[in-house]
Amino acid sequence: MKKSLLVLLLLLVGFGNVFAQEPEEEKAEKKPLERAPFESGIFMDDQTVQTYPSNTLEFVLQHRFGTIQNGFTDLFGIWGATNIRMALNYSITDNLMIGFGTTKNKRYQDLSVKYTFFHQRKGGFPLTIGYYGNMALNASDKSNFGMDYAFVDRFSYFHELMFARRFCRSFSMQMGFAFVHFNKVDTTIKNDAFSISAIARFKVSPQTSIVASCEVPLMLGYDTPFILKYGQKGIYYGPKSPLPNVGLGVEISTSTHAFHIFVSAAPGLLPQDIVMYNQNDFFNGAIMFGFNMTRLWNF
Amino acid sequence: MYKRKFLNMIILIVGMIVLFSCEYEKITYDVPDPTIPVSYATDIQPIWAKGCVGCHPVGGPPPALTPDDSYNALITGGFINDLVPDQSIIYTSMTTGGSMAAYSNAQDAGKVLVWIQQGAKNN
Repeated sequence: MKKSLLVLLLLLVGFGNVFAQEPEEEKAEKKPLERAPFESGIFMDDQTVQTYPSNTLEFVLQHRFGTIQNGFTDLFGIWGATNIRMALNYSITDNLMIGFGTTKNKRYQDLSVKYTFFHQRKGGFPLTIGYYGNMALNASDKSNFGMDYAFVDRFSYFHELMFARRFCRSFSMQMGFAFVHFNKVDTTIKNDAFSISAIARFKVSPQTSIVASCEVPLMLGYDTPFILKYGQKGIYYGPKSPLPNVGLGVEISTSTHAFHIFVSAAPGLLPQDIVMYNQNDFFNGAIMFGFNMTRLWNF
Repeated sequence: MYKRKFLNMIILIVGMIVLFSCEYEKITYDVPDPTIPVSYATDIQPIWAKGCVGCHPVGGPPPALTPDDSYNALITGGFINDLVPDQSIIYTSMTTGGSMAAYSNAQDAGKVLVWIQQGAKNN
């Protein structure tokens, strides 16, 4: 509890400081900005440092199919269970974006904010650094939260610091360090988790790129499993420790659209759901097709 | 300047909401009493209605869990094991590691198990 309070306080202080330090006029010797490392704010299952010019509205549609494990019976997951998220993101300034989204699995309603506070410059600062945070409300049935239900049980939080660099026209990479907190979880996992993620984009033509991502969750320790007894049999309940998520696919982008078509493992769409609850092992065949579509409007 | 002050205030308010709505809780379930009779119509069918019929209607992947068809679909489709109730497919798919674990919870799985242990009646 103290640790997460400290993390959040530090982030708050960081925000305030950055706003206070914004210069009124540009220094003459400020190097020119490097071009953006990514085409879009989302990247398969992850967020990127990318924000859009102010007064831009982005519509995001994310879709994941079922796993391919059932073969032709459900056309490799395409006729199977799905997860869908729709979101609207709005850029208040060139660096600050807020968003609202709704997800099918667990009926998550999320509010998010993204802020980019350092930018890569040609011959100058080497990285683009941004922060992404969201707060999600699990609006599914009350029975999913067990006994002693309280409204705050439904909340979960995600904070990520992202460091991105455009190495050359055809290669960009981003590392992300994230902290996840769920207010109420099953007894087999902890409420907090950390994750490290890496994403890479290889541009093969002006509008097409090959994209790859990897996210590794780190949960420090486990709680003892909770045993429910029926008669004389003890049964363990709850998800097991989360597995890493890997994604591999193609990005097609225009000035107003970005499309991602890819395979990945995690059925979740919110970053905290992916970090905490991914039970699909990418390297054991639990792969699913997915696509993202984003559309931008400039006002 | 007003915009920056306004934004700062918004950040402070959101930060306070995030900080104060944080808690550390664990999900615990009420153990269903196996001696209390479980009714299929009032206890089990609502579980299917809550989170299953969207992907399991008639004509979808088995079992069909709509109110008129679910009991027959479960009995004839091999989803229930009378001899070893906790090996019934309908139950194991709802528990940890099961294919439907993400769409159910331990409370509902427990109810289904007790129903099977009581004879899987269409009551």
